[in-house]
Amino acid sequence: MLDRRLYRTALALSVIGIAVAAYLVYVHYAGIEPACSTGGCEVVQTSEWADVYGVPVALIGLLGYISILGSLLVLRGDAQLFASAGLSLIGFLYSGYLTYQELFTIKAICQWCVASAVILTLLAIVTLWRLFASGAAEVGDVDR
Amino acid sequence: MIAGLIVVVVVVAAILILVSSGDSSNSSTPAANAPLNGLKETKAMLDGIPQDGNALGKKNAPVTMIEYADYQCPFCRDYALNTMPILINDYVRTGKLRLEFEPLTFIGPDSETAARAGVAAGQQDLEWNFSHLFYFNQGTERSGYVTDAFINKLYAGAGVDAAKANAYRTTPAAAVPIATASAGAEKYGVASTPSFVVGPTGGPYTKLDVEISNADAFKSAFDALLK
Repeated sequence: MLDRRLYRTALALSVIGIAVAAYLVYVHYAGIEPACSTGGCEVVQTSEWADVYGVPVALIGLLGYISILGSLLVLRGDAQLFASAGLSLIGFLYSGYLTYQELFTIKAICQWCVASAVILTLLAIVTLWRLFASGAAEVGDVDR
Repeated sequence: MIAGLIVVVVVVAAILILVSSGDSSNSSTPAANAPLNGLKETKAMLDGIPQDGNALGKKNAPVTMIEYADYQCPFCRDYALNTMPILINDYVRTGKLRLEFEPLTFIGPDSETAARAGVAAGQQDLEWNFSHLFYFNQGTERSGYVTDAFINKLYAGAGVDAAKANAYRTTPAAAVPIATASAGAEKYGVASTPSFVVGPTGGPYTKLDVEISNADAFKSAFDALLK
């Protein structure tokens, strides 16, 4: 029952994440300014952290969310629990690093990026919760 | 298995973070190696004239002309390189006229980058040196030539402290004069660049409709105000 609810929450969060990231990817390639109430989105999106060797961070985020959603929909059992938790944790750490750069290096805040960081934090919590609640992560649980 | 997961997570996140930082390898472009034009002309035109942010000329000059321009616009360059030096020599240098430069950014992202860079130069009272050198080295509109390397080259030529200016031009504060310029353009109904408004220093200013290549038309407008 609890797992069902957590699973649905993770699904919903990854869909919201896809929407946010897709919007930022669209904005990036259309060359328009994102709707932004903090005034910092353009600064953040044009900073040196906005792309990795020419790949916009928004696109990396979109692929990340799609992978998380994919792992939830396609994989089953322990594989699903581990993959979704692992991917969410990677996203959480990376978005944490980017938020740190926003706050302390670029000194501008992009609400869309913060929204994505919050979604990834929630996803990491929910997927880890599922992983630990299932018992799959317990020491000694070796199934091969 | 959980240990394996943690290792994979940490390694992937670390790789992402490492490749994100210090990605400055894309700052070198051919434009960086091209020789800088207009150094001598810029120096000759501006040397000895006081600057204050976006303003050129004595504070107490009786007449002020505000120019609304886009760094990428070819007509702005034509005006700056052909007509403006005459006006500066005859009216600004003699203390009769003060010029203000208001950057508009309607052509594209490069305009914004350039405008911010100009504002940052203005923090060091070298905006006019920067903008004149910019026009001398102007590239094709929307071709993406306004790179960090291009700006650094102009900063070097204009005598701007590049480290300071580069730190400033990406801050929200550097966008404030651009917003002011666009508000001014709206107020005066500026629909194309370059556009000019002129009046007694402090205002009120009215739009000046002259052929940009016609220095005499500018001069007679100034003379009318100087009477």
